[in-house]
This record gives sequence, C-alpha cells and structure tokens, in this order.
Amino acid sequence: MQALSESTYLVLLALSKKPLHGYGIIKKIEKYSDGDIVLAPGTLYGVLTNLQKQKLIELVTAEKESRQKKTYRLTDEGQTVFELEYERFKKMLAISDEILKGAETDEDDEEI
Amino acid sequence: MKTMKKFKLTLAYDIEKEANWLTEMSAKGFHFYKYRWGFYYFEEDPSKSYIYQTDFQESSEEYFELYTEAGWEHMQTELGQYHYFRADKNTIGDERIYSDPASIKSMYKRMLLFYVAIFICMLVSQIGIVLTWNGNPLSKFALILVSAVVILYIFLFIKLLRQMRRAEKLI
Repeated sequence: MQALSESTYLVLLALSKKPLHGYGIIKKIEKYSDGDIVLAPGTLYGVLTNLQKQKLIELVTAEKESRQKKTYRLTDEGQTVFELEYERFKKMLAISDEILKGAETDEDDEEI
Repeated sequence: MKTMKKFKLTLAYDIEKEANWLTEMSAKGFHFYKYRWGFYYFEEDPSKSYIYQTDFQESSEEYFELYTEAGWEHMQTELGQYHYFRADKNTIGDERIYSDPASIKSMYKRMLLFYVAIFICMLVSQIGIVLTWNGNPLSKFALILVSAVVILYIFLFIKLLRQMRRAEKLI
C-alpha cells in the first residue's frame, strides 16, 4: 500500500472513533493538535471526495436536533487502511527511537 | 453604499492572481461582490477588509456548508465550478481555502480535465468543417476560426500544466 498523504491520514484518524460532518473533522484535528493543524476546507473537501471514490468513507444521513445533517463514516475497508497506516507510523516512531537512543553507544556503526 | 465596476479579462489559470487582486482592492476599501461578463463589481466600505479566494471544484450541499462553517462567505459561482469566496481579514487570519500544495495541484488538475473535455467536444462538433470541405471562403474562414480557438486551448493547457508543476515543487 502506498503511504497516505498527511491530510488523508488526519481525516481517517478524525473519523476512526465516530462519524463527523465536514467541519467537525477540522475542529477535531484542531482541538487535538492544540490548534497547530487547521485543515483548510478546500483541502479537506478534496480529500473527502477522493476517499469516497475509493470507498474508504461514505456519507450517511444523521438525524440531529430535528434537522438532517450528513456525516462521513469510515467503511470497513477504510478502517483497515487506517489501522495499517497507524501501525506503519508506530513502527517508524519505534525505529526512530531505537536509532536516536543508540546513537552514542552503538559500537558497530563503523562496520556498517 | 457607493459601488463601482471595473473591466478586467482573467484567464482560467490565473485564479490565484485574480484572488490576490480582489484582496488588494478590498484592502483599499473596494469589496468585490459580483462578476458579470468581464466586469467586476465593487462596493465601497473603508471600514472593512476581506481575503478573497477562488476554488475550482464540483460542489454539493456539503461543500458549501463546510466552507460557510470554516468562515468563508460564498459570493458567486461561475461555469458551475468556479466558486468565489471571501472572509473577513481579521477573523480568518492566515487561513486560506487550501492548506497544502498537493491539494492546490489537484485543483489545477481538475481544471485541466474540465477544459480538455470541452476541447474534445468542440473538436468533435467541428469535424464537419473537414468533412464538408470544398475550399470556398466560408470553409476557410471557419477553419481559421477553429484553428485560433485550438491554439488558445493549447496555450491554456500549457499554462495549467505549469501551475500544476509550480504547486508540485512546493510539496
């Protein structure tokens, strides 16, 4: 599988717990990144369109405060893709930690 | 409220330049609110300043809802897919409608595919000129006219590809 773009990963991440409407995705990422990451609406909409085409997410109608609002939900395939990507990131982080930790004590470095 | 209009030709690939111009005009107190046949309409209000942005995208109900909630006021839609937005400079800050170069590149790619489709339709509809060719002045005139349009489209394609490459360099 090809690595997902950062924006794509963030959208899948935001939807991993529960379905959200478009702006809800922006708010969630903004909140958990302490305001560091603010997805722009055009960027988000492009990602949502692509993910729908790939059937990784779907639009569902949710009844909320007596008015209908469409929310985006991960499909089973979307959930799988997200989990794979999450594991990949975790592995990258673990490898990074190992290398950074061993930087001074590793005596085999010169042989490589 | 005082209004004014300005005539300006903008070609499709220059929407970022157009948005910058509208933002500059707004900083001077003239706020764009309508576009008709090459004319840009402004209303004067020195107390305000807006950031203007133009998007090219297939819209939907969710699309406009998302932009509105993110603080962008929809002004107008041209050719079904060009959407003009604006937001108050003080409330929107550094935010724009795109937050990464990859999505800007995708926008120009959508635009390119849109014009390629129109171009192909045009070529197919004009094939009659060749089929009914009899060398009379009318056929010649039609051929020259179509050739001019073909050249214009090729110019547009090159410009759009260049915009895509420019965005790609920032990724």
